[in-house]
Amino acid sequence: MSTGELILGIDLGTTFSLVAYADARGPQVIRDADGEGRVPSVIAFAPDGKVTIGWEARRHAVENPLHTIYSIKRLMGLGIKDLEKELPYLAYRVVPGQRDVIKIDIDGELLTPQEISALILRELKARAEKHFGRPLRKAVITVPAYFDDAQRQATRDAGKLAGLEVVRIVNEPTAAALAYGIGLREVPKQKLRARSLPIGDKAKCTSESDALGGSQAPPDGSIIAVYDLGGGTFDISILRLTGDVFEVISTYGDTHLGGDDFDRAITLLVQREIHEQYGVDIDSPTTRQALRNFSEQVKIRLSTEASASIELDLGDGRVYRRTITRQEFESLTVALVERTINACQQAISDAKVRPEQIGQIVLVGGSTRIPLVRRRVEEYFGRKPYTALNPDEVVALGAAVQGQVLAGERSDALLLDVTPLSLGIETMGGAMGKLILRNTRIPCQATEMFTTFVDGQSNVKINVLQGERELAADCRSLATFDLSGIPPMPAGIPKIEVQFLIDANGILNVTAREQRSGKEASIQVIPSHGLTKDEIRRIEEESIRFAREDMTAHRMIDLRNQVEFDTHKTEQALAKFGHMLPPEERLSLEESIRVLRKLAKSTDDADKLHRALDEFGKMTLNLANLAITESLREDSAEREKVKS
Amino acid sequence: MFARIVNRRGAMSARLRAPPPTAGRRRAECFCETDASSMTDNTLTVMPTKCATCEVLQQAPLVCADCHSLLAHVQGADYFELFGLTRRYHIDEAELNSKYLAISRNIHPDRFGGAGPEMQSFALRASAAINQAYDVLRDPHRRAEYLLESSGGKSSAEDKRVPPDLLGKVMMLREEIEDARAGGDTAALSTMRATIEKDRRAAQQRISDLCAELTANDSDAIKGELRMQLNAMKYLDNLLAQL
Ligand SMILES: Nc1ncnc2c1ncn2[C@@H]1O[C@H](COP(=O)(O)OP(=O)(O)OP(=O)(O)O)[C@@H](O)[C@H]1O
Ligand SMILES: [Mg+2]
Ligand SMILES: [Zn+2]
Repeated sequence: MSTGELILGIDLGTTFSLVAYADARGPQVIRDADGEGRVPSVIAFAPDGKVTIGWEARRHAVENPLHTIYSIKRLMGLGIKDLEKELPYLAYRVVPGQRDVIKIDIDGELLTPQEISALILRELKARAEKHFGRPLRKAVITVPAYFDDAQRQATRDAGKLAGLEVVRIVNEPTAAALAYGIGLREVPKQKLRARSLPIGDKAKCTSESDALGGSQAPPDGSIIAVYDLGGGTFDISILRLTGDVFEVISTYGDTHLGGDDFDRAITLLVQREIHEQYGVDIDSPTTRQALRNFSEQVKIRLSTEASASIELDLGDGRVYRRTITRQEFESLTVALVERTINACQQAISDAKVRPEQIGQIVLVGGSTRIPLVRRRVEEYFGRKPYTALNPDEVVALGAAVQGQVLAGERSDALLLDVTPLSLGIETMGGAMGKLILRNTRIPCQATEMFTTFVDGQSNVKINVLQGERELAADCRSLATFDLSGIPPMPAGIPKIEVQFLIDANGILNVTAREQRSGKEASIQVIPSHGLTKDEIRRIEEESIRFAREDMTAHRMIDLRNQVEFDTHKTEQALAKFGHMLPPEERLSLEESIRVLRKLAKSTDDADKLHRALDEFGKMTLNLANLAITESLREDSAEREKVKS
Repeated sequence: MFARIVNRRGAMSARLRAPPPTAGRRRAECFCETDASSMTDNTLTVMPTKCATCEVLQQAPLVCADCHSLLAHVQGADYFELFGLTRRYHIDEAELNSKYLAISRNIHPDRFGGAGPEMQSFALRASAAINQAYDVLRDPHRRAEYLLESSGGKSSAEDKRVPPDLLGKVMMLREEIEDARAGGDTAALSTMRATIEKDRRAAQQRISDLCAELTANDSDAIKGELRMQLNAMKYLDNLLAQL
């Protein structure tokens, strides 16, 4: 049942985001002209209103700390109270919004994390549209497995604000497992064709040849663990692979544990020592941002070197200098790594398996390049982890495969996932009454009966919670559901059946019915940390218009430059080799150059210009071939001359 | 405020009791025609079922393995029936898992990415129901609870009785555990663990026997006894968790 419509796979990361697609050749990351697939999840707002996203924004972060937003994923779906520990490290301003929602304050303009994430998604969408030369609107977006309902909804809303139809939210480690499984299956075919592995970019990511030890389709029923330590989040998932089915057995994680925290360990050390030596606190937004970049560089250096020397000019002839060894770095970060190992323990015990039953440990996320991480994972599981995948790209590739499944283009893979957190309701006395336990397979459901306490009462409010703690106050409130329209009856008589349904995205849906009257009760959902439907609609109407114009403008500039470049190149080639073409082809090429240039000046329709550019490219194929053959001939003639 | 699942099961068992299991065949509400019912050791099953769309005979009344149309409204259907399994305590877990995977392959919402909203919502609900059924059936304790409650037995909330000597024994063991733990007597702790595990095995055997009797003889006495054994099991499990 193919829908024929391409569904993109998007890894919306804390530090890097990627967009991929899958076709008959397998999943592919969409890259820029330099072959770079990653887009830094950084957005810069210039004073003149120009918005830049990605590498450009990242480069200017230090000059422009208050207007450069990074790690926005760590703020998604959270309230200001959840972020007490996070805020001191951010260079930009965060302020409380309505309910328990936060806003980013950019010179008085207040944007929600959803709107900021939408800008990244929009950039990825534009990248894919440029690649395919046509509009695309459907996507699978990945989230950390341990994301709660609010964080998932926030991600889905961001997609909506970016003009995407989010067909599915998929857990990052599950997507990685899918890419891993599919990749292994396709190895034999690939070997025959003597091509590179379809998954990841091996040359770039591994030097250990033992990594290929497991390049065979795993036996039925084999159990794998996916350890995903990225820039901001950590997940561990245990899966069983049975033929085409990828069954998650358990998952555990921490949505605030990642590379950012390893950077902070260095930042804190430097700040402390500078304070001790010079009695100064360096904590302005600019230095926060500078220290962040600096610490990350030191960390990355220490993944390959035994030590790194650092030097910071504090002005007035004061220079902070020191050498930091890998050992020192490890002692600063061992507690972080232990937190991941404890999470592994929890996931394994929830899965009711023993570590030695795990056939493969798949490493995902840039932070798994840290030697201490690899060492501890290897020690804990008692075997070498699998590192043959490019840890930066595997999640996006898996998302693309899932997109293909959802488009009905592939039926040899099925993901069965679980909900990471228990779901319940606040009962009388403030306890958490669990309805769905964590690690329950999704989709899943639970039904609960409610009644009234006062005669004629027509409303019942239900506070829906997520978490493992016993007290409602210690769990996270997802939303308040306000059931109204209950027919007037004496207290305790109405029987309202409320059904809680967690869908395949891990997102809760609630329906209610008054049983005595058979009336569908109406429910108003007031999300604790998210946006209401109306709020989303309003944002969509207001800001997206401007963002879209901005983005189109951006794309038009790129396209016009491309037209200039291509036509110029063609003119050069025509001048040199034109006489070798049939005269009518030469004339028609000259005409096409004029038409394309005119179109570039006159149109504002990026799609149209893109198509015209593509057409033009096809027309110049002959000439290009000719030019290449000729230059090769000239080249070898040159060499001959040199020899003789 | 906590009527919860108890109520739901109550409602369902009411439907299952009429017509009574001995009177004829039990079937889920479905679009397809039930073709024949076969009898195996006094247990009624409704297999095979004919798909109403393509008329191929099916092993489980949920989805047509042939044309993939969803056959039944699975909400409220008998859990064993959903998987095409005989309604009894002993099941082959590998068989259950492979049936679960086979059904999931056909009804998981991912398989309906291009379908209309109605079909998608149906797949979502069907999947949720099948997952719930699978979770109950693969856990021996919950499986027994389900057999009891769906044949009209009381829930643990409604009937808290336990075998007469159990409470005293549990109390004594609990004290002994505390003493042994305080004294750091690991040998005593492991002896106690062995004792409790033995009791647990005995309770399990009794439960298994009672479930078998229940399918043959739908009597209140057997249901009461089964209820007590299941309650006892919970106490023993709690003790084991304490160790
Ligand atoms: N060689 C390296 N050594 C140590 N850390 C590295 C190395 N290369 C990248 N990293 C770190 O990996 C992190 C980025 O990884 P990745 O791109 O997987 O994260 P992400 O997908 O953006 O984040 P998340 O999945 O948590 O949302 C950054 O913190 C970066 O500093
Ligand atoms: Mg990631
Ligand atoms: Zn059929």
